[in-house]
Amino acid sequence: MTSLLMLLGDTDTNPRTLFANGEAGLAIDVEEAYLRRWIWQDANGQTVAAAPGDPVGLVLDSSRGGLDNLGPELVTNGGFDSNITGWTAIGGATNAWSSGTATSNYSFSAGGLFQDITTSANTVKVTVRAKSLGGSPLIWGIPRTGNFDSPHTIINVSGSEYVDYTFLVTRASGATGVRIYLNAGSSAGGIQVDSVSVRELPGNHAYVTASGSRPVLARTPDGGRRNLLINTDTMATQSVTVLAVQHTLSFRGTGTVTLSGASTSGPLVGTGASDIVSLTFTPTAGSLTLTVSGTVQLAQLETGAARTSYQKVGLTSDVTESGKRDCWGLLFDGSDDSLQTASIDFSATDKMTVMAGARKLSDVAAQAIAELSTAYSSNNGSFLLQAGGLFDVDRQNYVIEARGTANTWLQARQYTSPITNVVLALIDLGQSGTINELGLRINGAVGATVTNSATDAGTGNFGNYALYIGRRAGTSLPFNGILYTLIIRGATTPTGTIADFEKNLLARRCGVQI
Amino acid sequence: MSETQYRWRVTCSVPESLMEAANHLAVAVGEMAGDFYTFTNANCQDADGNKYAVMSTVVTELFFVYSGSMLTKRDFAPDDWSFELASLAQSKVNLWMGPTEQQPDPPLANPRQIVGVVGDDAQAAISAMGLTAIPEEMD
Repeated sequence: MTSLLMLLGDTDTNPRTLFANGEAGLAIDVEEAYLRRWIWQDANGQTVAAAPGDPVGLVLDSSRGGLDNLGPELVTNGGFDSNITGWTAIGGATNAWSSGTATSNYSFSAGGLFQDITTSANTVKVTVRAKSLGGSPLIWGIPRTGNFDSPHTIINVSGSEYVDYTFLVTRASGATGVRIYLNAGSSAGGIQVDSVSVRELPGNHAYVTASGSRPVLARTPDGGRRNLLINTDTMATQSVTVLAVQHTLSFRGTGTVTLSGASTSGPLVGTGASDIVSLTFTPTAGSLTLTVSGTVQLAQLETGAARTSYQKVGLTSDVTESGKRDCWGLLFDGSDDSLQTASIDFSATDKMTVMAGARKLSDVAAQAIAELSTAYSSNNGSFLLQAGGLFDVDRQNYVIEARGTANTWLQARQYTSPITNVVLALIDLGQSGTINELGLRINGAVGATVTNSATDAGTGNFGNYALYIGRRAGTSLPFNGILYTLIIRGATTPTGTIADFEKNLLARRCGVQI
Repeated sequence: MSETQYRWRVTCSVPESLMEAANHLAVAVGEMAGDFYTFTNANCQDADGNKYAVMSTVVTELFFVYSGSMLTKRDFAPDDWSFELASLAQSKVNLWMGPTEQQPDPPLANPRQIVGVVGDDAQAAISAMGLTAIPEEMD
């Protein structure tokens, strides 16, 4: 049996080793998060994202050990052993202690019991063992102390048997803690609670609270996706965007595929249930429609003059190939997907190491892979790792941009999408001159055709800001691609360690050889 | 491994004038309180320069159930959620489910409608609606 440790790879390239001395930052390793079930569909950590195509509302930062490293118990009298002391009554509910439990029954309006909990970590793990006494009881997790502001976690408590309700609450910006509210509901009935536990979950976890903005859990085969179609086991009519280069269409079956739009070559007619037929053609750039009649199976459309090994594509987020390992990432749709963390305090350092394993799918616009603060260009002590170049005529690039007190940038050019890369950026605001302040490595080597700003970044340390992933401030510069791994470390990193992580962690995770 | 229930992707264009109402609708057909802030930035435009907020997301079957039914206030809806605004937005929706003989291609974005396109490729849907990103100034 394969152990989890083996699946996760060499422990020397465990991202946690980069943070052993308390360095600020985060490590998002989607494969680890998937295998350990540290990735959820919702920002509250209730429903695990378990399959390709599931949306992702929360993924844990593993730099501090994730759920393996919970802090001490923070709740006062969470066991209700002899009373309900420590809990505050609110509203029109009748609260009481009963045989090691707290009960809260609706009386004349909504109400119940709450406790404000101060935490030094941004996120806490909450477990409430509760059952319904009828009506519509709820458990609320509120991201600040002192009030009942939304948005917050709301859990419907149902059933007359005890259930452990587990969720995560990330405190709001500037808040010192969270509020847990055991709500009897707003109709006859109430809630009975056997225990409440709240423990710190160290780290800077990435989340998004609007369901439409969630990236999607994706898997791609080692070596990358070649098959441009979807639903390929049994193909239906579909359109794909193609470049003006040689393509090969192939399939098995007795059906026919007729091309229109970017090419009118063919049609390609199947010759039998076990026969593979193929057609090589060069379309114009644009939308190619493939109209299917009859049975068309194991279909593949790829660039080049010959059919290669079959890649099964379900949805865009689920591509597999026999004999190739799965690489797990987050698919950002290039429209409105993004994640963010609570504020990360980098104010003790002027050095930064940024590592990403990513596949970029488009070069038509500037795209934020990760940015510290709402905009690096207007916040001292921040940075932006960008896909897509700085200028409209030159978008096939990766760019690291930083600001001490002035904006500077350095870009590596001519990485034409679709392409998968290990991207590593180094920033040292203590240096002078952009070429000394910024460094950019692509696939384990100094980036090709580097150009840089003539402006110095100025001085100072980095700031205490939220980190935005996949979109600037959650509102602009959307990333169109897959992010497999993202490590942000508020420190310089030795060359040997960088090379080790590039080759043995990031490249492996995103399926490239370096 | 389980299979995802999110088997469809929907890409929507919302004209600037309907963004507020669309956020109320997003709560009614969505999954969480944060859906109230789905449409915040009209950063796409059509050929005539009309501005739109664009959103693309994967959805389950429930999305189609909710969006095609009489709207109700969801458990997680904020206090200021408005049935009237959500219903107004719902009445403006033109949802294209895929090619038919009558309508082989997705509709273009419309300054008086919320257009939704069901399809796996968000960028293709945005392009088919005739929208382009409004260029953003970079430093």
